[in-house]
Amino acid sequence: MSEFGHILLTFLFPLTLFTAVTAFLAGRNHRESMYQAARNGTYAIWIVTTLAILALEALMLQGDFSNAFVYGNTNRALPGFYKIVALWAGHDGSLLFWTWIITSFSALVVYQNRNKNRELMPYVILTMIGTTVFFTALNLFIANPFDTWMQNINGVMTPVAAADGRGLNPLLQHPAMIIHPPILYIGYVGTVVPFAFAIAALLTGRLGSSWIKITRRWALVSWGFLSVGILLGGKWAYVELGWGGYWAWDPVENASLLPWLTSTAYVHSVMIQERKGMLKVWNMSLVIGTYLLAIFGTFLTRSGIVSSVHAFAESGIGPAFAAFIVFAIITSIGLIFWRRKELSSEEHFESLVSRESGFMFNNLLFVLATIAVLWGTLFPVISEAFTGEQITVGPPWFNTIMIPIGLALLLLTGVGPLLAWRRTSIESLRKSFGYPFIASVVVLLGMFFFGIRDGWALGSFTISFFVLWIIVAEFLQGARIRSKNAQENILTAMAMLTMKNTRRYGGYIIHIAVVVIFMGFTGAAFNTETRQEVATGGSFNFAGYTFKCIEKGHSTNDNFRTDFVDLQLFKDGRKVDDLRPAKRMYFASKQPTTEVAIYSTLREDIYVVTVGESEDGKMAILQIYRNPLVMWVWLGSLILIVGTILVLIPNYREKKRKPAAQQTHARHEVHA
Amino acid sequence: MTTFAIIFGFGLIAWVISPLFKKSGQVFEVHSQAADLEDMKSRVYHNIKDLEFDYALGRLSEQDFQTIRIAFTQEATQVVARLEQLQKHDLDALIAQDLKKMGDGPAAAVAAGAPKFCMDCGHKNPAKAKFCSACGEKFEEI
Repeated sequence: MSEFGHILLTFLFPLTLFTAVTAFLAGRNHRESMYQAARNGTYAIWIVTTLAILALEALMLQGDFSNAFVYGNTNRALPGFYKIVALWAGHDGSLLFWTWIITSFSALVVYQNRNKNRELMPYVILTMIGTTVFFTALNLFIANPFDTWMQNINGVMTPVAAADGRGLNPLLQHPAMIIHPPILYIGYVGTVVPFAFAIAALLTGRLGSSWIKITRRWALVSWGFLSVGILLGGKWAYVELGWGGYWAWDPVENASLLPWLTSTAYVHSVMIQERKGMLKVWNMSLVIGTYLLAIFGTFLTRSGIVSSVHAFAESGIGPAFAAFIVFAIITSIGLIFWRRKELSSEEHFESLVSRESGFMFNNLLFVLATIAVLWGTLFPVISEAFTGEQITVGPPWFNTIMIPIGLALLLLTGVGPLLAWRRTSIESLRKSFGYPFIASVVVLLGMFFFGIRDGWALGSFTISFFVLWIIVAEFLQGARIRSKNAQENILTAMAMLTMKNTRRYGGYIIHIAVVVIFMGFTGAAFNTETRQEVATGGSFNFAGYTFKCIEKGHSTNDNFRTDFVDLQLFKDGRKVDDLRPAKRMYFASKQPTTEVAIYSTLREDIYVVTVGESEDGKMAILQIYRNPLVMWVWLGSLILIVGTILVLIPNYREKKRKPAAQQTHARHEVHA
Repeated sequence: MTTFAIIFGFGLIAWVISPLFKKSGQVFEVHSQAADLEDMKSRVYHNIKDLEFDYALGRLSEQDFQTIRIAFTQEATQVVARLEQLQKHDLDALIAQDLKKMGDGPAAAVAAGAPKFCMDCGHKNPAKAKFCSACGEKFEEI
């Protein structure tokens, strides 16, 4: 089977080259036959990659430990579905998986556009399959998951058939492993589609808004998957790593945040180009930047460059990635420069107080955030290059910069929707800001009065309240006008309004999600923790709860040994939950993991971890965190998913019930 | 298994490269001006809708609303007019093409010796003219 996989990859590489070349020629001479061949090639690439994935899965399920990847990432006792998902646990397999997703997307895009966008498509294929050429080459020459496991015996590399594998990294043995990596990968790879259309637009000179319209949904889907992937990663870290939080500004976390920041900027600024034909170079740069950051993120995650510079040099994958990224940057900049005349704006900014300038501020902040995160993430590498010493910037550094940027963005979420395109009358601003502003000040004073003294927290809650008010008012106001015009009740009007303009109102729902998530983030300002020793039958109090230890014990299965503590949690004398924090020791990998126990409410999370035991082994040592409002982050995530789906639904078109003139008349009447 | 794999592999290659051996040197259509104009049209329409919405929510003064709306309407008129012109142009070309398809019948014979009328300005040109003598528009080979 390893042999078969090798043959597939060897076959795949020239196939991708052939397809890229024919696509390029089809783009140059517009020849139908070339284009057909490139399309067939794209489908064939997908078929071959799919077979390669199936071959690797077969190897893992069979437990063929003569294969290096199977040996390194699975073992006999590993449950079946973890054997399947071990595909994306290791370096080589996850690169193959990346390749498979991009080939799937390529095939999908080719199919979607089989009768459309003839002029752009050859170059779209060129760009997507060009990226595939790179990943296939990596898989074939540097990170081949079908390589045999070799051991150095008396100075000679000899193939070894091991009896059992080293096993899957225990941290990855969690249900989230099944969905988190694929979701994030889809998010990453999804950025390739808008990029491919952008490059095609540059090459053909079709630089109007058509490429943007074609890729709008792709950009949003990729954005949605990135968002969910990041939040899910946070949730996973929270329940699995056992340090009490969900985000630590770790390089791998930042790697996923970077393309998210630029793609969020893009889904906003794209509206300016659609409306006014402006910011063409800017949007082009955001799309290209997002793609590059997605590739860079994959590289950062896979190469380990930040945590260990040596792994980077050894795997050989680093220089290849670096070369590819540099090539992509130079090509993109060159193309933009070449087309600079066609990319000039068709209109200009008319007023500083307008929707488009609101979007512009939003974009500047997002780009600022991207630069800050990129700088902070790469600082260890940069400092090592210059001083020979790795200096890491920690969460405090990131928080100092990102909290103010985040709050400014949150504020814009509220202000932006109240600004009209082109210019806004100051009178209307005074009208729409008046009540929410006064109410927010009252809320601020109220919170201060009730003893909240943390400045950032006060700011965050106040802004959240302000933004929520405005969004709800937007829904109500729109619905009121509609209900008068269409003689519907307010709820029907609201639903119809939303369905008729899913992009606007779905966007507002995403903004509500962002507010809810920010409230959750802000809860972290009030975190408290304690360390307690407790024996069977003992108890202690913390944060208004009573913890009773029922049993300190252990159990064993084929895969791991568990040391657990059974606790009962009481609040106001009433039992609210059973908690079982534990430590696991995995046999195959000889690695421990922490199993966290969490009691979660809207108000706060009680998060319990076992950190060890006393010298005589009778007392368990527990670390307990009280994390207020964490559940709001996950609730916000769900709202975000709903909002994103809504944005993706096409607008509902209703039949005209009244002559147009009468409708306009009615609208004017409302405001007379 | 091996035989199957080999057959499958060659089949796949044959399928991928087969279009290259088709004799027809068909060339696919390059973008039309119409697509650009359609783009502009939908943009102006969206802008008008946005403007009306903003006004309905009281974000614009009456005066701003009127000024901007007039500008948009003018823009829309221009774009639609250009589109109409283009579509007429396309129709003319289509008719000529259809006539040509009918073969060397009387229609073709007439067409061969008949004077050419410029599709842009309507000027009458000799049958063999390659360009319009009035406006310089190129005659398409039909």
